[in-house]
Amino acid sequence: MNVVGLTTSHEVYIASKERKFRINELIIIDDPNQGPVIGEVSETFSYNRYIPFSLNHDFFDAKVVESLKRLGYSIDEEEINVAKVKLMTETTYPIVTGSKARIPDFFEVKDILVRGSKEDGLVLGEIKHTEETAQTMGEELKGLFYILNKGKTEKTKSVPFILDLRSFQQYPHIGIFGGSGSGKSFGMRVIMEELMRKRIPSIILDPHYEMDFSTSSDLGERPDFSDCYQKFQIGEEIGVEFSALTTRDLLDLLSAVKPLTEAMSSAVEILFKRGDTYASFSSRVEDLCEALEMGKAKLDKMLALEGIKEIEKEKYRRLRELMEEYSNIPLPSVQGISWRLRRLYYSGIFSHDINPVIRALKSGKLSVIQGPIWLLQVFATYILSSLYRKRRDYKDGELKGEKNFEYFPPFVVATDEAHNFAPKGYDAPSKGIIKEIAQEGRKYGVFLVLATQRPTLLDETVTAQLNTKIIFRTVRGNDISTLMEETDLSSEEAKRLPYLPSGDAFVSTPLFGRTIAIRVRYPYSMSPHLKNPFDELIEKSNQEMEEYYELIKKELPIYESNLLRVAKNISSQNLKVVMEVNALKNLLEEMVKKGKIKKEESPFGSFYTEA
Amino acid sequence: MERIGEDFKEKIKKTAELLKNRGLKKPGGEAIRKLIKENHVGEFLKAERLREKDLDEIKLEGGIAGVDGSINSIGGVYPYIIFIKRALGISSEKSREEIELSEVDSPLLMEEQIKEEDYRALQKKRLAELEAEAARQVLTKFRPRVLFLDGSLVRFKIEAKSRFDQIKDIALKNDVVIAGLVEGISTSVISGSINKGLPPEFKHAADWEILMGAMDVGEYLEIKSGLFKEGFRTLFMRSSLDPKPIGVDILEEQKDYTRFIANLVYTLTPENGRGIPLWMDIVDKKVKITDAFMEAVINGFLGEDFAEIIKPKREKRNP
Repeated sequence: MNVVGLTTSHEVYIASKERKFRINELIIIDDPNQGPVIGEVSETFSYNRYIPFSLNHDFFDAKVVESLKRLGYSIDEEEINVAKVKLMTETTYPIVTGSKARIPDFFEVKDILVRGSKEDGLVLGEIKHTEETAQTMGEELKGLFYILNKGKTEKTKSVPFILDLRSFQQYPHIGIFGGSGSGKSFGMRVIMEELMRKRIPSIILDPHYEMDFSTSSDLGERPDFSDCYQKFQIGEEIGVEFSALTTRDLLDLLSAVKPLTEAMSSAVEILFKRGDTYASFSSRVEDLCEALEMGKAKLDKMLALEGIKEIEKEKYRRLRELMEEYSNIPLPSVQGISWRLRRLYYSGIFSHDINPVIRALKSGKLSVIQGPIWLLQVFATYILSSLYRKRRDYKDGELKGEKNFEYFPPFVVATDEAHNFAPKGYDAPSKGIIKEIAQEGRKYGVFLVLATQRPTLLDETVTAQLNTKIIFRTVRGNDISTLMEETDLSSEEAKRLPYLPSGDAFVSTPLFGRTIAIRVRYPYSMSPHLKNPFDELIEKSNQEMEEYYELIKKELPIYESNLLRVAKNISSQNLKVVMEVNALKNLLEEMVKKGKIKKEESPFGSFYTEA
Repeated sequence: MERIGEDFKEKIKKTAELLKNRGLKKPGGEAIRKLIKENHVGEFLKAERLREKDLDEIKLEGGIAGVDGSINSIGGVYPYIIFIKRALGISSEKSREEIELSEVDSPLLMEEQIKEEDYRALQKKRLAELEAEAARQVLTKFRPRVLFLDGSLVRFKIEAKSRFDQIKDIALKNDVVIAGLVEGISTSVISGSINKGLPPEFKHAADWEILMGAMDVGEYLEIKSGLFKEGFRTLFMRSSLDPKPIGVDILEEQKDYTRFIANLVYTLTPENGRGIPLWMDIVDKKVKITDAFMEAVINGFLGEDFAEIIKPKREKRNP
């Protein structure tokens, strides 16, 4: 390998006959005057001067090349490999043409490749094309995880990519970008697994119900995550404490069901009183509703009526008062509030609080918050604000020397579909808190991990604050240009984005000062959604078949003439199953087809028997 | 050159017209073939692509080899000039090292000044000698089944007689077939033999022009023995889609191999190419020294300042 052609002090070409180059490889150039210089391959070419790219003469003729090979002369071996190498740091003088180039030993490039130890960092994957350099790496960094390579999992042979946890202090937030199928979800899963292994308190919003870590992937050895995370369903295990809601919170919650009209919003503002419980607020709304429906005249009439019970009279008096007090609220607004409130109530959200999540965070666990997307967004606003406030109060208190604030740990907030939570161009309930954490979370030790397939739709302030960006395959042109604006991704790298294999990503981080191509490690756990729906169908039908087989086993052999009795027998013995003759016949035929039983002929007609 | 004078344009037009008219008068392919047959100039034959088995056999018997040379000059006006000659011999057997011979000269270093044409002629002769020497080494070191040389074998016989005789001896002794490949045919033997049947414009036409368009792809004309190039067998062949034939010389003593060589040449020539076997293109590309490389080498060894001095002023002209 040698430097060839015209050189500059930041870019050179190297050529080799024997070795093929790969993009992102690190190369050391031994410049006789300036010593070893480190560079990274940014483009690769290969050229065979005997197979010219020419349309009008001496066009490549495979037959002739084959004949020459037959004679012992293989033209392929005349290939010349050329790589464009970008130097890591600009040199004082251009590199001397002809300088020797070589693959670095690990110690020479350690600082460029590895920042942080596996104990103090998130081990996210391997740095691409570092196999040769990794051979001289210390044993403690070798084979730390598995990699999926051409459909097979194997121990990594490359230099690991480690994101140092301490660096979060300086560069707190992570963005994960990539289209569907790009490996983005795997990336998120790996980060979560790493956070759990390090016992970092974390919370992830999981609109897809996929953040489960109990199903293990097909790896043999794996850490057990069962006590590292907890799943919470909104309305089942967790919810909001109604009495702690602010008017703003309540408005957000109600509008999450369906956006509120202006009249409704102002009605809520008038009707909701600080310290209201669900019962007090909802009965106020319901009563007002009833009052408005009845109307003033009818209420007065009812009050004037003789012979009704005092308790009812009391009610009409209350309604009458409410009507007086809120005379200017139109009935449709109150009705609108009423049904929204009921829907929230039935989701179970007001029957729980967020204390289970707080407990999980305090014990260093990952809390997975699940719920339907319409609710998750509002709930996220509520829970993130609450948790962030707790952490901020504790830290501020600590600074001011006040000891009365309860300890609350630093934590990580993660979510997929982040563009829903902090969209660009319009308002969403959760946008405010995410923006706030993005801008000042660093001070308090609250960190974001935001994934989205549409970086262009994510709020710009938030995008700008994501210091570390992990970029998977991206196809859309405007997303690519957004990413280019926001990172140090070169145009060559951007051109490769649409073609990145699933699981490969570029990491742009100020920590490394350059873009690094990585392959995300294979996760230890698996998303419950990964089962192919068609496999699922087959599995399901096999399972049913098995169940039916258990039912009819006792009746075998079954004569065709006897089907009616058998059907009755089965139905009477099993409460859940109602079997009639045709269905039984079909079932038996199906089982014959699948080879579970066989059909035989006899003098008394055909019969089914054990296979 | 934005504008062309009327007179100038007229002259070009006239000449072009004459050339076109001349071309139209050329007898058709069939007529040419008939003339050639009637005058016993030679025989039209069809080459066939060698089968894998044949190629394997050649490989077993030593494979094929090729020798080519190149000459470059750098500098200014004679005698301020440096000549670099290089000859290269390669074998299809990858394990064999290439044979590389070179010579660097400058007329400034001659004891007495000679005329430029003489010096250039001398260089040409030296190059032939260098190539012949490379061929000799190829024969002794590689022992190939077939050795291809670039250019007519006659050239070696004339320019490098003693070396060529050596080559011939070794080749005949070891049964190595030697073939010279001629890309630019300059002879005009056929027209001389069939001139009675040709229009006056074509009485002295070159062989390539006579044969152009008269042969099918893979067809060749084996010239009757003794008609020209004493001591050699010559065939003209259309080895690719290109209608312009190439020439192939072999030793008279090896005339039994004519068909074998024709087939081998045909097999190794890209169909869409210009008719030269890919093998010879490979040797050619390997031996050629690019101007940029020449300049870098000269600058490197001579020092840029000295190289600058011998460069002609016209090279420093602004583009």
